Amino acid sequence: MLVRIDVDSATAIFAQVAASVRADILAARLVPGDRLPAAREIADALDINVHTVLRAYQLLRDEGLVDLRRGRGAVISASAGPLAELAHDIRALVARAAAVGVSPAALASLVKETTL
Amino acid sequence: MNDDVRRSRTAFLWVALIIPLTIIVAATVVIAAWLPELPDPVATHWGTEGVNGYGPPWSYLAITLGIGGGLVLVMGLTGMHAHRLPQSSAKPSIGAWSPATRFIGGLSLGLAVMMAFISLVSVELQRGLADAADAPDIGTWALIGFGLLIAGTALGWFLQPKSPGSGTPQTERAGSIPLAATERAAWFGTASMAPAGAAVLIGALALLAVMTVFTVAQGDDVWWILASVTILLVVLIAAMAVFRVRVNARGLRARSLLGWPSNRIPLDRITKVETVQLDPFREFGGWGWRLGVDGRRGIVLRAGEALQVTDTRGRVLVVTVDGAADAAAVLETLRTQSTSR
Repeated sequence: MLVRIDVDSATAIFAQVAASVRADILAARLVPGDRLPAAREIADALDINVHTVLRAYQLLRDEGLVDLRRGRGAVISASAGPLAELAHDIRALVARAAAVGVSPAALASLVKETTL
Repeated sequence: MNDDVRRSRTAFLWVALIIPLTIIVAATVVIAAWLPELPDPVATHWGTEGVNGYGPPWSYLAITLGIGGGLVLVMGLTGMHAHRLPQSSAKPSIGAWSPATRFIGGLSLGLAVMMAFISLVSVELQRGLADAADAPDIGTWALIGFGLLIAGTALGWFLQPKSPGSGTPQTERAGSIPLAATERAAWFGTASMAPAGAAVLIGALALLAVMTVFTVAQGDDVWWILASVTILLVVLIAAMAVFRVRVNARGLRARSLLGWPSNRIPLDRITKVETVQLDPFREFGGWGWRLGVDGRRGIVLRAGEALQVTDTRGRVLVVTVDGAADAAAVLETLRTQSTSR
């Protein structure tokens, strides 16, 4: 599992940690049942605060991608499995949006506001 | 399977299984024929003051056939199947016959010769005795038996053809990931024991446990030595079953789930990062935290793709971590970034 952060970025560090995990789920490098490293371990490896990592894990739990259980740590949830199947579609959609001049940020907002 | 492997395999079958089993069975038959002439109980163990362990006469049949034959079977079957054990990696087997297997073949023959010899001598010396306590000391004979172990192992080694296919390992230079100068990256992975490796270790452990129980039951005063070896092995196997691997700006760290053993290589001491296809049995003689036949240090828990790192002193560490290519790319990127800074 690869976690990358840019301290100079405008994006909050906890969001960058969560994005790293999401990217690995999308690439199927992390699959349901995989255990994430302890928050302390990631914080130590990247020289960031342990609460930042815990906040990232809580964000992923709220998104339904990770189960947080006392004593077991963070485990990729079963509902994260189908995400990898969407990887191709997401890439295609972003590429099409870029082709017609819609930014990823605008696209994300549109996705959020779309109701079925 | 090519001709070289077939020739090695046939030689191994004879040296490691057929000949040793014949020797063991022949010794057992001779001992069985001598049984009526033995005192009851017979001497089964000698200490510095002469005989200090007794058992029923049939215990010699059990020791020779059970322990001798058992050891030969474990070593022979391990060697016969090691080169095509299933891999946890999706990559095809790169199995070829190995020097490690050739050595196991020799050892199997050596052990069979030693077991048969010591059993035969111990029984022969007691033929016609009324009381086993009068049995003469066997210290010299035991030494000769040990010499036979070495001679038999050497003979078995030279009876087999030179191992084919021990070419240079297939290494591949690490890739890289896009990483800005202001970015930090950390990669986490796990290396865990393949089922095949676990099966062999547990099998060996079971045999040792049976031998321990046997010595305890015999009331042997050195039972605690075997018992502590067994416990030590259990701890070692537990310590080597799963390793957590971390790559970050500080370098590479591979640490057992128990915290020990642990290997670290600081980033500024790394000179080369590669991935390599490896065969645990052929290159490291087995599974675990090991020294390879070519001097590489290895955390070798399965066959297939592994991360290989060389340090400034030329020492090489291999870790069979899942996602080795990703780990190599991250490590190589961090390394180039730190040296160019």
